[in-house]
Amino acid sequence: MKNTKMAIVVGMALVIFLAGCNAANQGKIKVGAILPLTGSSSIWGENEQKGISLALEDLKAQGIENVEVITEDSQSKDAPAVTAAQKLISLDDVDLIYTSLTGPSIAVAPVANSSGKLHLYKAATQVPINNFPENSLKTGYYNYEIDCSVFGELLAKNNYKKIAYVAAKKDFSTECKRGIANSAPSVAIDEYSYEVSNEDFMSILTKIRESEYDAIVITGYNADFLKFYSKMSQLKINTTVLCAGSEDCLSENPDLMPLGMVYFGAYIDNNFKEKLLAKYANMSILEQSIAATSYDMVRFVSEAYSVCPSRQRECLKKAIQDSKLDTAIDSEGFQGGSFLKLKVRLFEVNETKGVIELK
Amino acid sequence: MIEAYLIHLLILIGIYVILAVSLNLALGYTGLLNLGHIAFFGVGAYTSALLTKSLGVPFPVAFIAAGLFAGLFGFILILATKKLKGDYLALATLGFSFVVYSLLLNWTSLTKGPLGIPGIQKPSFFGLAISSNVSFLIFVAIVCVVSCFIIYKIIKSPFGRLLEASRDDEVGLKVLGKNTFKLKAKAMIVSAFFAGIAGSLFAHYISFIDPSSFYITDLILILTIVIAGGIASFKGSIVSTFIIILIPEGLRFFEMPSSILGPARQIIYALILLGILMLRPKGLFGRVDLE
Amino acid sequence: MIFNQLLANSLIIGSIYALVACGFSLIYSTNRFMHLAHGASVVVSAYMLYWIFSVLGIPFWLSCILTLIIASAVGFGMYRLVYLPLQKKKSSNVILLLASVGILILIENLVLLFFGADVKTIGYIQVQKGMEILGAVITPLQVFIIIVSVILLVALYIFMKFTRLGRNMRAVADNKELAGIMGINYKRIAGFSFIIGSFLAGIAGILIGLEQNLEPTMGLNLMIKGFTGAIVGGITFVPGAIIGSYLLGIAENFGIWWLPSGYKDAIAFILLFIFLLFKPSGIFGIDKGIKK
Repeated sequence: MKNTKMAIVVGMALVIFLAGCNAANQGKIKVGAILPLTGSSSIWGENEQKGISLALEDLKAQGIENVEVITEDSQSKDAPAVTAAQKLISLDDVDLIYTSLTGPSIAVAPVANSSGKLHLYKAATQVPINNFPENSLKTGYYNYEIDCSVFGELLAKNNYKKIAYVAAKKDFSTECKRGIANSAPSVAIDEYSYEVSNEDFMSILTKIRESEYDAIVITGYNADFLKFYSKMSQLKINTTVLCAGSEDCLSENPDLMPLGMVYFGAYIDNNFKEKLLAKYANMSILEQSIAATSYDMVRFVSEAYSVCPSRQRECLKKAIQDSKLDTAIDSEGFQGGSFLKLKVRLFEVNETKGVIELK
Repeated sequence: MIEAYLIHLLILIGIYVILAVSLNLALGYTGLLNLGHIAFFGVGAYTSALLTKSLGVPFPVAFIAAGLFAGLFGFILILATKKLKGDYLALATLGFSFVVYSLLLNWTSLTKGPLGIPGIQKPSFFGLAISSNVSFLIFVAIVCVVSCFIIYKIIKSPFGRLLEASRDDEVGLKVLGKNTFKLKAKAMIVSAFFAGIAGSLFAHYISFIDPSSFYITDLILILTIVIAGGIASFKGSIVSTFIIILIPEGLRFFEMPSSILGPARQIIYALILLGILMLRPKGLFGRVDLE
Repeated sequence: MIFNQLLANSLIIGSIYALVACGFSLIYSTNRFMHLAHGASVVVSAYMLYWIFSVLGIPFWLSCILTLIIASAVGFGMYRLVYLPLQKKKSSNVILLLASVGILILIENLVLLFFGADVKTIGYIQVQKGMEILGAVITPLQVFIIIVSVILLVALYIFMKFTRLGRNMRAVADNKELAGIMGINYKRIAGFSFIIGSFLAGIAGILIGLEQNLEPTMGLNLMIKGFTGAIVGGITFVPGAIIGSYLLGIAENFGIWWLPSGYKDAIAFILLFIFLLFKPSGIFGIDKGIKK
C-alpha cells in the first residue's frame, strides 16, 4: 500500500512537470529570468518585472516581438535560484539566463556556464564575471570600487582626515572601501560593520558620537539607511553622511534624510520615466531605477538576437558588449568589457531637502 | 529535456531524505527533541567547503570529516542539555541552532560571514571527478541508500530497541541499570554525523553556501517532513520528503502573482504542520505520539 | 558620557523586549506551555494600527483602542481554535510548542501576503529629536515606553499576587484538576490569560510600531528576545520577565561595546542557552514544573 501511494505521488509529480514542458517557441529568443519575487529582497523582483513588461510592450509598439521572458522566483536565496536555473534550462530550454542579487547570481553562474547559456546579471558582485568571463556579463548595478572612489575624491578635496565607515556585511562594502582608499589614501577609516536588516545602530552611533569624525560613509540597503537616519537625528549627530547605496539612500519622507547627505546615483532617462509612471503610478526613484535595469536587459537581448539569429553564445555576448543602445539608465556602454559602465553622478540633499546634483 | 530538472530535484530529495531520516533517529526513535538539526547540517556544509577550498583536503576526507565534526557538535549538544526534558530541551536545542547560526555569520575570518563561500568544487575521488549532474545524482543516491541502510539497521537492532525504550520509559530503563545518557549520546552523535554528510553533499552540489541556508526557516522544513511522515517511521520520512519537496515545485506551474507565491509556500508548510499536529499527530505512517 | 548613553540604550531596548516578554510570561505562567505565536500577536497589532490609522485614516486614539481589541481577540482565537482542541486530546507541551511555531509562521506570512515586504512606518510621530538627560540622549517616545514597562511591572506584580483572577491563574498553573475541584473553571481562566496576555501584546505592537519600522518578520526576532528575557527573569514569575528583559538589554548593549555589533544576537542566544542549561527557572522563578 505504501509503495502504491509513493508511486502515485511521484507519478502525479511527473505529469505536472510534463504538462509544463511546452512546445518550443520558434522565432523568439527565450530569456530565463530568475528574480527575487519573494523573500528579503522582493521589492527588487517586483520592480524588475515591471521593467520587463514595459520593455516587451515598447518593443511590440515598434513592431519587434522577438523576446520571450520566462520568470522564476529565486526567493532571494541561492539554492532555490539554482533549482530555478535547472528548470529553465532543461524544461523551458531558454537561450540565456538573467539573475539579480548577489547570492543567486553567484550560485547560478556555474550552472549557466556548464550548460553554455549566456548569463546576464545585475548585482553588486563581480564574482561571476571574474570566475566565468566567457559566459557572464554584468548588465546592471553599480561597480562599488569605481563609484566609491568618487567619494574618495570628495573626501580628499575637503581635506578630511578621519572617517567612520559603517559597512554592511556584504562584498560591495569591501569593494567600496577599496575604492575610497584608492583615491583618498591618507584618510583614516574606522570600520563599523553590521548585519543587514538586523541592526538598530544605537551602539554604532553612540560610539561614533564619542569620536570626532569628519564624515560618515555608509553602505547597505534602504531599510538600514532609514533606521540610521532616524537614530542619527535622535542622537543629534550632525556629521556629513556619504551614502554608498545609490537610490536606496533616499527616503520618501524628505525630513528624515540628514542635511548635506551625498550619494551617487545615475540618471534615469525622462522618456522612460514618463512611460513607466504612466503605466505604474507611484514608483519611488529606487523602484524606477530597478525597473530601468531590467528594461535595458530585455532591449539588449532583443538587439543582440537581431544581430545573432543563430543564438550562439559568443555571438550574443559580443553583440551586447558592442551595443550602442541608449539605455534607460544613463550609461557608457560595456566599452568592450564585462560590465555596463553607469554614468554615476553625485547628488546632495540641500537645505530645502531637495536633491541637487553636485559639481 | 526534462531530465536535468528532475535530476536536480532528485538530488535535493536525496539530501533531504538523509536529513529527515537522521532527525527521525534522534527525535522519533530516541525521543530527543532536537530542534538544532539544521545546525549540524550547516556545520557539515561549512566543514566540507572550507577543508576542500582553503586547505585542499581531498573530497573523501572532507566528506567524512564533515560528518565527524557535526557528530562532535552533536555530542556537545547532548552533553550540554543532559538535564533538560520536554519543551525545555526543545528550546535549548533551538537556542543551539541560533548560536551556531550566529557563529557562521559573525566569525568572518573563518566562514567569511554573510559573503558566503563561493566556488566549492565538485567532489572527486582519487582523481575521478564527479562533474555531471547525472554522476552526482548517482553519488547522492549511493550515499543516501547506504545512510538509510545503516540507520535502518540501527533502528532494527537491539540497540535500536533500547533507544525506543529510553524514549518510552526512561526511568524504567534506568532502574534496569542501563546508562540512558550513553544511549542518547550515541543516537545524537550518529544523527548529527549523517546531517553533517548531508551538509557536505549540499555544499558541493550548490557550490555556494552562506549562513542564510541554515536558519530556522529551513529547520521548519525538515521538522515538518519528519512530523508529517510520522514519528519513528522510517518509510514515513522518505515518502514525506518526496511530497514536501515536490509540492512547491508543483506550484510553479500555476499562474500565481509572485506576491502570493512566496508567502503561499510558507503558509502551506505551516498549514501542513498544524494540520498534522491537530488532525493526525502520528503523521502519515507513524506509530508513536510526540512526547 | 558613554556609560549613561549605554545605560539609556539598554533601558530603551530592554523596555521593548519587556513589553513582549510580559504578555508571553503571563500566558506561560497560567498555561505552562510556550506560546511562541505571541510574537505574531505583536506583529498583527502593529500592522493593524498601521492599517487602521495610516491607511484608513481613523483618529489615532480610536485606532489604538481598536488595535487592542483585535489583539486580544486574535490571542483568544489562537487559544480556542488551536490550543484548546489540542489540550483536549491530551497533547504534550512539545506539540503545543510546535503548533505555536506553526501559527507564528502562518500569521507572519499572511501579514506578508496582505501588506507586502517593504518597510512601513506609522506616521503618527514625526522624526524625533532626542532630549539630553544626564549626558544621554533619549526621545520622548522612548521615555514613554520605559515608563509604560515599569508601570506594567508594578501592575502585573499586584495583579498576580493580590487579585482574585491573578491568584486563580496561579492556581490553575500549579494544578488544573485541583483548581477545578475547588470550583475554578480552568478553561475560563486560561481564556482570560490569553486575552490579557494578548492585550499586552497589543500594547507592545503599538509602541514598538511607533518606535521602529514595521516589517513582517519582526515578530520572530522580538519573540526570541522577549522569550529570552522571560527565561532569564524567571518564566513563572511574570514581573520577572520584565526585569529579565532589562538584563538582556544591558547585556546586549554593554556587550557590544567591546565586541563587533554583529554579535548582539549571539549574546542573546548564548544568554538564553546558558540560562536554559543552568538555571531554567530564571533569576526569580520557582523550580516547579520544569523537569517532568
